[in-house]
Amino acid sequence: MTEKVAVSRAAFIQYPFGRQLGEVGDREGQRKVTGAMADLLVSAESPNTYVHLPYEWPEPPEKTKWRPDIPAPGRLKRMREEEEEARKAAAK
Amino acid sequence: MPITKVDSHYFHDQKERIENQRPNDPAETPWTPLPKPLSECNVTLVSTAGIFAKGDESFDYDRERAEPSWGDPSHREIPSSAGQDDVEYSHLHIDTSFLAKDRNVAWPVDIFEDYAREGKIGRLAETLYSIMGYIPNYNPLIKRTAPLMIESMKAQGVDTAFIIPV
Repeated sequence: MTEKVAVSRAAFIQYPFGRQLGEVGDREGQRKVTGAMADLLVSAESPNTYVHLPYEWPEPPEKTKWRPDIPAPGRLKRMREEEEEARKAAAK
Repeated sequence: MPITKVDSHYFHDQKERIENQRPNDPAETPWTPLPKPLSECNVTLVSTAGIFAKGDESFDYDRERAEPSWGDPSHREIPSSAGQDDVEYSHLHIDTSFLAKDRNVAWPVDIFEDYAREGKIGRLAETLYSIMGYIPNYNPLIKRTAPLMIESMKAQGVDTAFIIPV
């Protein structure tokens, strides 16, 4: 998404939504990420400079919580529409 | 094996949504060199986590609940002196409980205060900024909100901003 928007500089990381810098209480890990951001700010010499950070999230996606307990309005709407479609399909 | 290319769809498959986005022309990407050593820079932070100071106006979630394809495009200014529990972390599309326990998971105020003490940055600006990152129609964000944030940053002599999207 960010590459499509095209920005001056960006550091990409494969961490879950809402915890882009690291786990709760992991200050050392969080500082590695913010440090990489700062390094990029200093070292980039032209626009569209992107780095992919090597850090791996310790949990697999299916065990990683990032969605809120109460679904967002758009998601709730989609879930209700899907339920309705399933109900109609079952009734046929 | 260490990651060499980040998979944007690893935690949430948004392939269709992203592929339908019209790309900007990279040749037109703006560029502002860092004006001075980072150790001399006045630095601010920008979050998309829907953060606002307690007592300040919330982002408009009533309208989003009524119109799920609409998201509040405005911004909030947060004093950098505000502590962990002096703000609300309000984005409806992510689990904000992690931010509520330790803001540095995506709002690294304590880390940048440490950087200022350590001399890595000049100082952390008096004002930090947040938008709420679910903004399907982003034109008001570009045309109205971003200029307001930039005006505020310039008034405070900010040299550079770190944006931490969630």
